[in-house]
Amino acid sequence: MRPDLEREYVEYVTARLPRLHRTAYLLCADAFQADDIVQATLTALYLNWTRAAGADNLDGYVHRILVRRYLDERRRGWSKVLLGDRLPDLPVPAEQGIEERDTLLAALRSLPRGQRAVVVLRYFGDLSVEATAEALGCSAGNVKSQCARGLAALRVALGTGRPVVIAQGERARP
Amino acid sequence: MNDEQELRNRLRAIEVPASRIEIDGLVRAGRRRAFRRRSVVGAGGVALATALLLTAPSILTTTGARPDAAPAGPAPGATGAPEPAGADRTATAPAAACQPSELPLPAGMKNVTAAGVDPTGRYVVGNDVVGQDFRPVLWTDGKPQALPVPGRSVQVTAVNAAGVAVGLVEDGRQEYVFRYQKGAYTRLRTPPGNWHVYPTPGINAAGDVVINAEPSGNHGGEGSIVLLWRAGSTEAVKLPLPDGANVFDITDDGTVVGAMYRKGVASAAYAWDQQGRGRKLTAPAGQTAAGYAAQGDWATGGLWPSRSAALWDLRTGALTPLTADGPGDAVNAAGWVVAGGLLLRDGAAVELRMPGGQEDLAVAVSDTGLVVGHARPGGDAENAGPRVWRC
Repeated sequence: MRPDLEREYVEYVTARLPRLHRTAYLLCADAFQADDIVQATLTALYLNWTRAAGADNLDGYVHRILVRRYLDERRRGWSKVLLGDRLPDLPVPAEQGIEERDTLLAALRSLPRGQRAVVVLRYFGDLSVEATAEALGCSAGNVKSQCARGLAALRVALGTGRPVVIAQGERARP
Repeated sequence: MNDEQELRNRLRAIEVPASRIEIDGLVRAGRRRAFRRRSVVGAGGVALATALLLTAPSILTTTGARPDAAPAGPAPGATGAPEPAGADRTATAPAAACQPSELPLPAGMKNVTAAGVDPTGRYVVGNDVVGQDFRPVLWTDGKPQALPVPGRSVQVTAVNAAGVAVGLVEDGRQEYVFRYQKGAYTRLRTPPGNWHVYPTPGINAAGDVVINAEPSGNHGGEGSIVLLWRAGSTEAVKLPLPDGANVFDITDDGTVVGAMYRKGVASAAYAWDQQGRGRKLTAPAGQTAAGYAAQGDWATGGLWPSRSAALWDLRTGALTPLTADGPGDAVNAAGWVVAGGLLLRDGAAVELRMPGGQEDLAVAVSDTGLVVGHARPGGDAENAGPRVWRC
Protein backbone atom coordinates (compact mmCIF):
# COMPACT_ATOMS: atom_id res chain seq x y z
CA MET A 1 0.00 0.00 0.00
CA ARG A 2 1.19 3.52 -0.70
CA PRO A 3 2.58 5.22 2.41
CA ASP A 4 -0.06 7.97 2.39
CA LEU A 5 -2.87 5.43 2.08
CA GLU A 6 -1.36 3.35 4.84
CA ARG A 7 -1.27 6.42 7.05
CA GLU A 8 -4.98 6.95 6.39
CA TYR A 9 -5.62 3.34 7.31
CA VAL A 10 -3.67 3.69 10.55
CA GLU A 11 -5.56 6.85 11.43
CA TYR A 12 -8.92 5.25 10.77
CA VAL A 13 -8.11 2.06 12.66
CA THR A 14 -6.58 3.90 15.60
CA ALA A 15 -9.77 5.91 16.00
CA ARG A 16 -12.12 2.96 15.62
CA LEU A 17 -10.28 0.09 17.29
CA PRO A 18 -11.71 0.48 20.82
CA ARG A 19 -15.26 0.64 19.50
CA LEU A 20 -14.85 -2.29 17.12
CA HIS A 21 -13.28 -4.34 19.88
CA ARG A 22 -16.19 -3.54 22.17
CA THR A 23 -18.71 -4.47 19.47
CA ALA A 24 -16.95 -7.78 18.87
CA TYR A 25 -16.78 -8.49 22.58
CA LEU A 26 -20.47 -7.75 23.08
CA LEU A 27 -21.30 -9.99 20.12
CA CYS A 28 -19.31 -13.01 21.20
CA ALA A 29 -18.86 -12.35 24.95
CA ASP A 30 -15.32 -13.69 24.80
CA ALA A 31 -12.19 -11.58 24.97
CA PHE A 32 -9.99 -13.90 22.90
CA GLN A 33 -12.58 -14.41 20.22
CA ALA A 34 -13.25 -10.67 20.09
CA ASP A 35 -9.58 -10.02 19.36
CA ASP A 36 -9.61 -12.62 16.60
CA ILE A 37 -12.71 -11.19 14.99
CA VAL A 38 -11.33 -7.65 15.05
CA GLN A 39 -7.89 -8.74 13.82
CA ALA A 40 -9.44 -10.61 10.88
CA THR A 41 -11.75 -7.70 10.10
CA LEU A 42 -9.01 -5.09 10.09
CA THR A 43 -6.56 -7.25 8.13
CA ALA A 44 -9.24 -7.68 5.48
CA LEU A 45 -9.81 -3.93 5.55
CA TYR A 46 -6.07 -3.33 5.01
CA LEU A 47 -6.07 -5.55 1.92
CA ASN A 48 -9.07 -3.72 0.55
CA TRP A 49 -8.31 -0.25 1.84
CA THR A 50 -7.91 1.54 -1.46
CA ARG A 51 -11.45 0.66 -2.43
CA ALA A 52 -12.99 0.69 1.03
CA ALA A 53 -11.68 4.17 1.92
CA GLY A 54 -13.89 5.56 -0.82
CA ALA A 55 -17.04 3.82 0.44
CA ASP A 56 -20.07 5.98 1.21
CA ASN A 57 -20.38 4.55 4.66
CA LEU A 58 -17.04 3.13 5.74
CA ASP A 59 -18.19 2.34 9.28
CA GLY A 60 -21.17 0.39 7.95
CA TYR A 61 -18.87 -1.50 5.59
CA VAL A 62 -16.51 -2.41 8.42
CA HIS A 63 -19.42 -3.57 10.58
CA ARG A 64 -20.57 -5.86 7.82
CA ILE A 65 -17.11 -7.41 7.63
CA LEU A 66 -17.07 -7.72 11.42
CA VAL A 67 -20.37 -9.60 11.50
CA ARG A 68 -19.20 -11.91 8.74
CA ARG A 69 -16.00 -12.65 10.63
CA TYR A 70 -18.14 -13.37 13.68
CA LEU A 71 -20.05 -15.91 11.60
CA ASP A 72 -16.76 -17.35 10.31
CA GLU A 73 -15.64 -17.87 13.88
CA ARG A 74 -18.86 -19.72 14.59
CA ARG A 75 -18.22 -21.93 11.59
CA ARG A 76 -14.84 -22.74 13.02
CA GLY A 77 -16.54 -23.97 16.17
CA TRP A 78 -15.18 -21.17 18.35
CA SER A 79 -12.08 -23.06 19.26
CA LYS A 80 -9.43 -22.56 16.65
CA VAL A 81 -8.12 -19.11 17.23
CA LEU A 82 -5.48 -16.96 15.69
CA LEU A 83 -4.11 -14.81 18.45
CA GLY A 84 -3.87 -17.32 21.25
CA ASP A 85 -5.01 -20.90 21.49
CA ARG A 86 -7.60 -21.74 24.05
CA LEU A 87 -10.96 -23.46 24.41
CA PRO A 88 -14.24 -21.57 24.18
CA ASP A 89 -15.69 -19.56 27.04
CA LEU A 90 -12.61 -19.21 29.16
CA PRO A 91 -13.93 -17.79 32.42
CA VAL A 92 -12.42 -14.69 33.93
CA PRO A 93 -10.65 -15.54 37.19
CA ALA A 94 -12.86 -14.86 40.19
CA GLU A 95 -10.64 -12.13 41.63
CA GLN A 96 -11.05 -10.07 38.48
CA GLY A 97 -14.70 -10.89 38.06
CA ILE A 98 -15.25 -8.34 35.33
CA GLU A 99 -17.82 -10.37 33.50
CA GLU A 100 -19.69 -11.64 36.51
CA ARG A 101 -19.87 -8.17 38.00
CA ASP A 102 -21.69 -6.82 35.04
CA THR A 103 -25.24 -8.00 35.14
CA LEU A 104 -26.04 -6.53 31.74
CA LEU A 105 -23.26 -8.53 30.13
CA ALA A 106 -24.53 -11.66 31.84
CA ALA A 107 -28.02 -10.90 30.58
CA LEU A 108 -26.69 -10.21 27.11
CA ARG A 109 -24.93 -13.56 27.13
CA SER A 110 -28.17 -15.28 28.03
CA LEU A 111 -29.89 -14.00 24.87
CA PRO A 112 -30.10 -16.27 21.86
CA ARG A 113 -27.29 -15.41 19.43
CA GLY A 114 -29.52 -13.72 16.88
CA GLN A 115 -31.15 -11.47 19.43
CA ARG A 116 -27.80 -10.56 20.94
CA ALA A 117 -26.34 -9.62 17.57
CA VAL A 118 -29.36 -7.47 16.76
CA VAL A 119 -29.24 -5.71 20.12
CA VAL A 120 -25.48 -5.06 19.91
CA LEU A 121 -25.54 -3.74 16.36
CA ARG A 122 -28.63 -1.58 16.91
CA TYR A 123 -27.85 -0.16 20.33
CA PHE A 124 -24.09 -0.21 20.49
CA GLY A 125 -23.15 -0.11 16.81
CA ASP A 126 -25.94 2.42 16.17
CA LEU A 127 -26.74 0.69 12.90
CA SER A 128 -30.14 1.40 11.40
CA VAL A 129 -32.73 -1.38 11.24
CA GLU A 130 -31.94 -1.79 7.55
CA ALA A 131 -28.18 -1.86 8.03
CA THR A 132 -28.54 -4.37 10.87
CA ALA A 133 -30.73 -6.56 8.67
CA GLU A 134 -28.16 -6.40 5.89
CA ALA A 135 -25.24 -7.19 8.18
CA LEU A 136 -27.03 -10.19 9.70
CA GLY A 137 -28.62 -11.43 6.51
CA CYS A 138 -32.20 -11.23 7.76
CA SER A 139 -35.27 -9.07 7.12
CA ALA A 140 -35.92 -5.64 8.63
CA GLY A 141 -39.04 -7.08 10.21
CA ASN A 142 -36.95 -9.75 11.85
CA VAL A 143 -34.56 -7.13 13.24
CA LYS A 144 -37.49 -5.20 14.72
CA SER A 145 -39.05 -8.22 16.37
CA GLN A 146 -35.69 -9.50 17.70
CA CYS A 147 -34.94 -6.04 19.02
CA ALA A 148 -38.24 -5.89 20.88
CA ARG A 149 -37.73 -9.35 22.37
CA GLY A 150 -34.12 -8.66 23.26
CA LEU A 151 -35.04 -5.42 24.94
CA ALA A 152 -37.82 -7.11 26.89
CA ALA A 153 -35.42 -9.77 28.10
CA LEU A 154 -32.79 -7.22 29.11
CA ARG A 155 -35.26 -4.95 30.90
CA VAL A 156 -34.86 -6.90 34.11
CA ALA A 157 -31.12 -6.43 34.07
CA LEU A 158 -31.49 -2.78 33.20
CA GLY A 159 -34.06 -2.08 35.87
CA THR A 160 -33.03 -4.06 38.89
CA GLY A 161 -29.40 -4.80 38.30
CA ARG A 162 -30.10 -8.50 38.55
CA PRO A 163 -29.30 -10.80 35.64
CA VAL A 164 -32.29 -12.05 33.74
CA VAL A 165 -33.30 -15.64 34.29
CA ILE A 166 -32.44 -17.81 31.34
CA ALA A 167 -35.74 -18.87 29.87
CA GLN A 168 -36.50 -22.35 28.64
CA GLY A 169 -35.13 -22.87 25.17
CA GLU A 170 -32.36 -20.34 25.50
CA ARG A 171 -28.75 -20.91 26.26
CA ALA A 172 -26.00 -18.93 27.88
CA ARG A 173 -23.42 -19.88 25.29
CA PRO A 174 -22.51 -18.09 22.10
CA MET B 1 -34.94 7.92 30.20
CA ASN B 2 -36.42 5.21 28.01
CA ASP B 3 -35.17 1.65 27.90
CA GLU B 4 -33.46 2.05 24.56
CA GLN B 5 -31.39 5.00 25.70
CA GLU B 6 -30.63 3.29 28.99
CA LEU B 7 -29.44 0.24 27.07
CA ARG B 8 -27.21 2.38 24.86
CA ASN B 9 -25.63 3.96 27.90
CA ARG B 10 -25.16 0.70 29.72
CA LEU B 11 -23.62 -1.06 26.71
CA ARG B 12 -21.04 1.73 26.59
CA ALA B 13 -20.33 1.28 30.28
CA ILE B 14 -19.68 -2.49 30.21
CA GLU B 15 -16.13 -3.24 31.21
CA VAL B 16 -14.39 -4.93 28.33
CA PRO B 17 -11.11 -6.81 28.80
CA ALA B 18 -8.21 -5.00 27.16
CA SER B 19 -7.63 -5.84 23.53
CA ARG B 20 -4.32 -7.42 22.68
CA ILE B 21 -4.39 -5.97 19.19
CA GLU B 22 -1.73 -3.43 18.36
CA ILE B 23 -1.90 -1.12 15.38
CA ASP B 24 1.69 -1.92 14.36
CA GLY B 25 0.84 -5.60 14.41
CA LEU B 26 -2.20 -5.02 12.22
CA VAL B 27 -0.18 -3.15 9.63
CA ARG B 28 2.48 -5.88 9.65
CA ALA B 29 -0.17 -8.58 9.21
CA GLY B 30 -1.76 -6.62 6.37
CA ARG B 31 1.58 -6.14 4.63
CA ARG B 32 2.43 -9.82 5.02
CA ARG B 33 -0.83 -10.90 3.49
CA ALA B 34 -0.63 -8.39 0.67
CA PHE B 35 2.92 -9.53 -0.08
CA ARG B 36 1.92 -13.16 0.02
CA ARG B 37 -0.92 -12.61 -2.42
CA ARG B 38 1.47 -10.96 -4.87
CA SER B 39 4.02 -13.74 -4.38
CA VAL B 40 1.44 -16.44 -4.95
CA VAL B 41 0.28 -14.86 -8.18
CA GLY B 42 3.88 -14.78 -9.39
CA ALA B 43 4.55 -18.40 -8.54
CA GLY B 44 1.47 -19.57 -10.41
CA GLY B 45 2.62 -18.16 -13.73
CA VAL B 46 6.07 -19.64 -13.49
CA ALA B 47 4.80 -23.07 -12.59
CA LEU B 48 2.35 -23.48 -15.44
CA ALA B 49 4.91 -24.82 -17.87
CA THR B 50 6.08 -27.45 -15.40
CA ALA B 51 2.55 -28.45 -14.66
CA LEU B 52 1.92 -29.75 -18.16
CA LEU B 53 4.30 -32.59 -17.47
CA LEU B 54 2.21 -33.89 -14.62
CA THR B 55 -0.64 -36.32 -14.85
CA ALA B 56 -4.20 -35.30 -14.09
CA PRO B 57 -5.53 -36.07 -10.64
CA SER B 58 -7.76 -39.11 -10.74
CA ILE B 59 -10.57 -37.02 -9.36
CA LEU B 60 -10.85 -35.25 -12.69
CA THR B 61 -11.07 -38.31 -14.82
CA THR B 62 -13.12 -40.67 -12.70
CA THR B 63 -15.56 -39.12 -10.31
CA GLY B 64 -16.52 -36.00 -12.18
CA ALA B 65 -16.44 -33.86 -9.06
CA ARG B 66 -16.29 -30.79 -11.20
CA PRO B 67 -19.85 -29.68 -11.79
CA ASP B 68 -19.19 -28.18 -15.19
CA ALA B 69 -17.28 -29.82 -17.99
CA ALA B 70 -13.62 -30.31 -17.15
CA PRO B 71 -11.19 -29.46 -19.90
CA ALA B 72 -9.48 -32.44 -21.43
CA GLY B 73 -5.82 -32.86 -20.79
CA PRO B 74 -3.59 -32.47 -17.82
CA ALA B 75 -4.45 -30.16 -14.97
CA PRO B 76 -1.78 -28.12 -13.30
CA GLY B 77 -0.53 -29.15 -9.93
CA ALA B 78 -0.59 -32.43 -8.16
CA THR B 79 -0.10 -35.97 -9.17
CA GLY B 80 -3.42 -36.62 -7.49
CA ALA B 81 -2.50 -39.65 -5.46
CA PRO B 82 -1.02 -39.21 -2.02
CA GLU B 83 2.74 -39.34 -2.03
CA PRO B 84 4.22 -42.56 -0.74
CA ALA B 85 5.23 -42.56 2.88
CA GLY B 86 8.69 -41.15 3.33
CA ALA B 87 8.70 -39.44 -0.03
CA ASP B 88 11.01 -36.48 -0.22
CA ARG B 89 8.48 -33.69 -0.24
CA THR B 90 11.05 -31.14 -1.24
CA ALA B 91 11.37 -32.85 -4.60
CA THR B 92 7.81 -32.23 -5.73
CA ALA B 93 6.90 -29.80 -8.47
CA PRO B 94 6.75 -26.10 -7.72
CA ALA B 95 3.46 -24.66 -6.63
CA ALA B 96 1.16 -24.30 -9.62
CA ALA B 97 -2.12 -22.45 -9.92
CA CYS B 98 -5.24 -24.44 -9.18
CA GLN B 99 -8.28 -24.00 -11.37
CA PRO B 100 -11.54 -23.00 -9.68
CA SER B 101 -15.07 -24.00 -10.36
CA GLU B 102 -18.28 -23.07 -8.63
CA LEU B 103 -20.20 -25.53 -6.54
CA PRO B 104 -23.86 -25.26 -7.56
CA LEU B 105 -26.28 -24.31 -4.78
CA PRO B 106 -29.52 -25.99 -3.79
CA ALA B 107 -32.54 -23.92 -4.78
CA GLY B 108 -33.20 -20.96 -2.49
CA MET B 109 -29.82 -20.95 -0.77
CA LYS B 110 -27.67 -17.83 -0.96
CA ASN B 111 -25.02 -17.73 1.74
CA VAL B 112 -23.33 -21.11 1.52
CA THR B 113 -19.74 -21.92 2.39
CA ALA B 114 -17.95 -25.24 2.17
CA ALA B 115 -16.92 -26.90 5.43
CA GLY B 116 -15.16 -30.09 4.39
CA VAL B 117 -14.32 -32.64 1.74
CA ASP B 118 -13.82 -36.39 1.98
CA PRO B 119 -10.35 -37.82 1.19
CA THR B 120 -11.41 -38.94 -2.31
CA GLY B 121 -12.91 -35.56 -3.25
CA ARG B 122 -16.23 -37.14 -4.14
CA TYR B 123 -18.22 -35.65 -1.25
CA VAL B 124 -18.21 -32.05 -0.13
CA VAL B 125 -20.16 -30.66 2.82
CA GLY B 126 -21.10 -27.07 3.56
CA ASN B 127 -23.65 -24.88 5.25
CA ASP B 128 -26.04 -22.14 4.31
CA VAL B 129 -26.58 -19.42 6.91
CA VAL B 130 -30.13 -18.25 7.55
CA GLY B 131 -30.13 -15.49 10.12
CA GLN B 132 -27.90 -17.01 12.80
CA ASP B 133 -28.64 -20.65 11.99
CA PHE B 134 -27.03 -23.24 9.73
CA ARG B 135 -28.62 -25.35 6.99
CA PRO B 136 -26.58 -28.35 5.82
CA VAL B 137 -25.65 -29.13 2.21
CA LEU B 138 -24.03 -32.29 0.80
CA TRP B 139 -22.52 -32.40 -2.70
CA THR B 140 -22.00 -35.79 -4.29
CA ASP B 141 -19.93 -35.73 -7.48
CA GLY B 142 -20.58 -32.00 -7.60
CA LYS B 143 -24.37 -32.36 -7.32
CA PRO B 144 -25.86 -30.43 -4.38
CA GLN B 145 -28.45 -31.68 -1.98
CA ALA B 146 -30.05 -29.62 0.78
CA LEU B 147 -30.15 -32.02 3.72
CA PRO B 148 -33.18 -32.17 6.00
CA VAL B 149 -33.15 -29.80 8.99
CA PRO B 150 -34.15 -31.70 12.13
CA GLY B 151 -33.58 -28.74 14.45
CA ARG B 152 -33.34 -24.97 14.57
CA SER B 153 -29.72 -25.00 13.41
CA VAL B 154 -28.04 -27.96 11.72
CA GLN B 155 -24.35 -27.62 10.83
CA VAL B 156 -22.53 -30.33 8.90
CA THR B 157 -18.80 -30.28 9.59
CA ALA B 158 -17.13 -33.36 8.09
CA VAL B 159 -17.71 -36.23 5.67
CA ASN B 160 -15.83 -39.47 4.96
CA ALA B 161 -15.17 -41.42 1.77
CA ALA B 162 -18.34 -43.46 2.25
CA GLY B 163 -20.41 -40.27 2.25
CA VAL B 164 -21.18 -40.46 5.97
CA ALA B 165 -21.47 -36.91 7.29
CA VAL B 166 -21.32 -35.59 10.85
CA GLY B 167 -22.17 -32.30 12.49
CA LEU B 168 -24.10 -30.54 15.21
CA VAL B 169 -27.80 -29.99 15.79
CA GLU B 170 -28.82 -27.10 18.01
CA ASP B 171 -32.44 -26.82 18.95
CA GLY B 172 -33.18 -24.65 21.91
CA ARG B 173 -31.45 -26.24 24.85
CA GLN B 174 -30.67 -29.38 22.95
CA GLU B 175 -27.33 -29.66 21.28
CA TYR B 176 -25.97 -32.90 19.96
CA VAL B 177 -23.74 -34.64 17.43
CA PHE B 178 -25.47 -36.22 14.46
CA ARG B 179 -24.42 -38.80 11.91
CA TYR B 180 -26.08 -38.53 8.50
CA GLN B 181 -25.95 -41.75 6.52
CA LYS B 182 -28.05 -43.11 3.68
CA GLY B 183 -30.53 -40.27 3.91
CA ALA B 184 -31.17 -40.49 7.65
CA TYR B 185 -29.98 -38.63 10.72
CA THR B 186 -28.92 -40.49 13.83
CA ARG B 187 -28.41 -38.73 17.14
CA LEU B 188 -25.13 -39.77 18.77
CA ARG B 189 -25.85 -39.93 22.47
CA THR B 190 -23.61 -38.53 25.19
CA PRO B 191 -23.11 -40.37 28.51
CA PRO B 192 -25.67 -39.84 31.31
CA GLY B 193 -25.82 -36.25 32.56
CA ASN B 194 -25.79 -32.96 30.68
CA TRP B 195 -22.86 -32.35 28.39
CA HIS B 196 -21.81 -29.54 26.11
CA VAL B 197 -20.06 -30.95 23.04
CA TYR B 198 -17.42 -28.85 21.26
CA PRO B 199 -16.11 -27.69 18.89
CA THR B 200 -17.26 -29.90 15.97
CA PRO B 201 -17.12 -33.67 15.38
CA GLY B 202 -14.47 -35.39 13.26
CA ILE B 203 -14.91 -38.69 11.36
CA ASN B 204 -12.49 -41.21 9.83
CA ALA B 205 -12.77 -43.69 6.96
CA ALA B 206 -14.29 -46.39 9.12
CA GLY B 207 -16.95 -43.98 10.36
CA ASP B 208 -15.63 -43.52 13.91
CA VAL B 209 -16.62 -40.11 15.27
CA VAL B 210 -14.86 -38.02 17.95
CA ILE B 211 -15.65 -34.84 19.86
CA ASN B 212 -14.93 -33.26 23.26
CA ALA B 213 -17.58 -32.79 25.92
CA GLU B 214 -17.62 -30.77 29.12
CA PRO B 215 -20.31 -30.86 31.80
CA SER B 216 -23.02 -28.32 30.91
CA GLY B 217 -22.33 -25.03 32.63
CA ASN B 218 -18.57 -25.53 32.72
CA HIS B 219 -16.25 -23.33 30.71
CA GLY B 220 -12.88 -23.59 29.10
CA GLY B 221 -12.92 -27.38 28.92
CA GLU B 222 -13.15 -27.83 32.70
CA GLY B 223 -13.91 -31.47 33.45
CA SER B 224 -13.88 -32.27 29.74
CA ILE B 225 -13.78 -35.79 28.32
CA VAL B 226 -13.20 -37.12 24.81
CA LEU B 227 -16.03 -39.17 23.30
CA LEU B 228 -15.76 -41.75 20.54
CA TRP B 229 -18.69 -43.31 18.71
CA ARG B 230 -17.59 -46.34 16.74
CA ALA B 231 -18.99 -46.71 13.25
CA GLY B 232 -22.69 -47.51 13.38
CA SER B 233 -22.91 -47.09 17.17
CA THR B 234 -24.88 -44.41 19.00
CA GLU B 235 -23.29 -45.17 22.39
CA ALA B 236 -20.30 -43.02 23.25
CA VAL B 237 -17.08 -44.51 24.58
CA LYS B 238 -15.02 -42.24 26.82
CA LEU B 239 -11.43 -42.46 25.62
CA PRO B 240 -8.89 -43.06 28.42
CA LEU B 241 -6.92 -39.87 27.84
CA PRO B 242 -5.18 -37.73 30.47
CA ASP B 243 -7.15 -34.94 32.18
CA GLY B 244 -7.05 -31.84 30.02
CA ALA B 245 -6.76 -33.77 26.73
CA ASN B 246 -8.93 -32.38 23.95
CA VAL B 247 -9.05 -33.77 20.41
CA PHE B 248 -10.14 -32.30 17.10
CA ASP B 249 -9.70 -35.11 14.57
CA ILE B 250 -9.30 -38.86 14.14
CA THR B 251 -7.21 -40.63 11.50
CA ASP B 252 -8.07 -43.87 9.74
CA ASP B 253 -5.92 -45.93 12.13
CA GLY B 254 -7.83 -44.47 15.09
CA THR B 255 -5.18 -41.97 16.20
CA VAL B 256 -6.77 -38.89 17.75
CA VAL B 257 -5.04 -35.53 17.46
CA GLY B 258 -5.40 -32.47 19.67
CA ALA B 259 -3.66 -30.89 22.62
CA MET B 260 -3.32 -30.83 26.37
CA TYR B 261 -5.22 -27.90 27.85
CA ARG B 262 -4.94 -26.31 31.25
CA LYS B 263 -7.57 -23.74 32.26
CA GLY B 264 -8.65 -23.59 28.66
CA VAL B 265 -5.23 -22.84 27.23
CA ALA B 266 -3.29 -25.33 25.12
CA SER B 267 0.13 -26.32 26.44
CA ALA B 268 1.27 -28.97 23.94
CA ALA B 269 0.03 -30.72 20.80
CA TYR B 270 -0.48 -34.48 21.07
CA ALA B 271 -1.50 -37.55 19.16
CA TRP B 272 -2.96 -40.41 21.21
CA ASP B 273 -3.93 -43.94 20.38
CA GLN B 274 -7.22 -45.23 21.72
CA GLN B 275 -5.52 -46.78 24.73
CA GLY B 276 -4.42 -43.30 25.72
CA ARG B 277 -0.75 -43.69 24.79
CA GLY B 278 0.36 -40.24 23.69
CA ARG B 279 3.01 -38.84 21.42
CA LYS B 280 3.92 -35.23 21.95
CA LEU B 281 4.09 -33.25 18.72
CA THR B 282 7.20 -31.10 18.68
CA ALA B 283 7.09 -27.36 19.30
CA PRO B 284 10.02 -24.96 19.05
CA ALA B 285 11.47 -23.71 22.33
CA GLY B 286 9.27 -21.06 23.89
CA GLN B 287 6.20 -21.96 21.81
CA THR B 288 3.04 -23.83 22.69
CA ALA B 289 1.18 -25.89 20.13
CA ALA B 290 -2.20 -27.45 19.39
CA GLY B 291 -3.10 -30.02 16.73
CA TYR B 292 -6.32 -29.26 14.85
CA ALA B 293 -6.57 -31.77 12.01
CA ALA B 294 -4.96 -34.98 10.80
CA GLN B 295 -4.96 -37.26 7.79
CA GLY B 296 -2.76 -40.26 7.04
CA ASP B 297 0.64 -39.67 8.62
CA TRP B 298 0.20 -35.91 8.95
CA ALA B 299 -1.25 -33.50 11.46
CA THR B 300 -1.61 -29.74 11.29
CA GLY B 301 -2.39 -27.04 13.82
CA GLY B 302 -0.82 -23.95 15.23
CA LEU B 303 2.08 -22.56 17.25
CA TRP B 304 1.77 -19.71 19.75
CA PRO B 305 2.81 -16.99 20.34
CA SER B 306 4.25 -17.00 16.81
CA ARG B 307 0.71 -17.62 15.44
CA SER B 308 2.17 -19.71 12.64
CA ALA B 309 0.83 -22.94 11.17
CA ALA B 310 2.48 -26.29 11.92
CA LEU B 311 2.80 -29.58 10.06
CA TRP B 312 3.74 -32.69 12.03
CA ASP B 313 4.75 -36.16 10.96
CA LEU B 314 2.60 -38.37 13.19
CA ARG B 315 5.08 -41.25 12.95
CA THR B 316 7.86 -39.26 14.59
CA GLY B 317 6.20 -36.16 16.05
CA ALA B 318 8.66 -34.07 14.01
CA LEU B 319 7.60 -30.52 13.17
CA THR B 320 7.75 -28.59 9.92
CA PRO B 321 6.99 -24.95 10.79
CA LEU B 322 4.99 -23.09 8.14
CA THR B 323 4.91 -19.38 7.52
CA ALA B 324 1.13 -18.99 7.24
CA ASP B 325 -0.57 -16.56 9.57
CA GLY B 326 -2.88 -18.61 11.72
CA PRO B 327 -3.19 -22.26 12.59
CA GLY B 328 -3.58 -25.04 10.05
CA ASP B 329 -7.22 -26.05 9.68
CA ALA B 330 -6.91 -29.06 7.38
CA VAL B 331 -4.27 -31.42 5.99
CA ASN B 332 -4.28 -34.20 3.39
CA ALA B 333 -2.38 -37.48 3.17
CA ALA B 334 0.38 -35.81 1.15
CA GLY B 335 0.97 -33.19 3.84
CA TRP B 336 -0.72 -30.29 2.05
CA VAL B 337 -2.04 -27.85 4.61
CA VAL B 338 -4.89 -25.35 4.58
CA ALA B 339 -4.15 -22.44 6.93
CA GLY B 340 -5.59 -18.95 7.08
CA GLY B 341 -7.55 -19.54 3.89
CA LEU B 342 -4.42 -20.52 1.94
CA LEU B 343 -3.29 -23.83 0.52
CA LEU B 344 0.33 -24.61 1.47
CA ARG B 345 2.30 -27.24 -0.35
CA ASP B 346 5.86 -27.96 0.69
CA GLY B 347 5.63 -24.85 2.81
CA ALA B 348 4.76 -22.58 -0.11
CA ALA B 349 1.37 -21.03 -0.85
CA VAL B 350 -0.24 -22.41 -3.98
CA GLU B 351 -2.28 -20.06 -6.08
CA LEU B 352 -5.99 -20.73 -6.01
CA ARG B 353 -6.91 -18.97 -9.19
CA MET B 354 -9.89 -16.65 -9.00
CA PRO B 355 -11.39 -14.61 -11.81
CA GLY B 356 -11.79 -10.86 -11.61
CA GLY B 357 -10.02 -10.00 -8.40
CA GLN B 358 -12.14 -12.23 -6.18
CA GLU B 359 -10.55 -13.39 -2.98
CA ASP B 360 -10.28 -17.10 -2.42
CA LEU B 361 -10.56 -18.76 0.95
CA ALA B 362 -9.60 -22.41 1.20
CA VAL B 363 -11.21 -24.48 3.94
CA ALA B 364 -10.21 -28.09 3.32
CA VAL B 365 -8.29 -30.34 0.90
CA SER B 366 -8.78 -33.94 -0.22
CA ASP B 367 -6.03 -36.52 -0.71
CA THR B 368 -6.71 -36.18 -4.44
CA GLY B 369 -5.86 -32.48 -4.39
CA LEU B 370 -9.39 -31.09 -4.46
CA VAL B 371 -9.50 -27.89 -2.39
CA VAL B 372 -12.87 -26.63 -1.14
CA GLY B 373 -13.65 -23.15 0.13
CA HIS B 374 -15.40 -20.06 -1.00
CA ALA B 375 -14.90 -16.78 -2.80
CA ARG B 376 -15.41 -13.20 -1.80
CA PRO B 377 -15.75 -10.64 -4.55
CA GLY B 378 -13.15 -7.92 -4.47
CA GLY B 379 -12.11 -8.42 -0.90
CA ASP B 380 -14.40 -9.03 1.97
CA ALA B 381 -17.87 -7.67 1.57
CA GLU B 382 -19.89 -10.71 0.58
CA ASN B 383 -19.72 -14.43 0.24
CA ALA B 384 -19.67 -15.17 -3.49
CA GLY B 385 -20.40 -18.84 -2.90
CA PRO B 386 -18.63 -22.15 -2.45
CA ARG B 387 -15.81 -23.15 -4.80
CA VAL B 388 -13.62 -26.12 -5.52
CA TRP B 389 -10.12 -25.93 -6.98
CA ARG B 390 -8.33 -28.82 -8.61
CA CYS B 391 -4.71 -28.80 -7.59
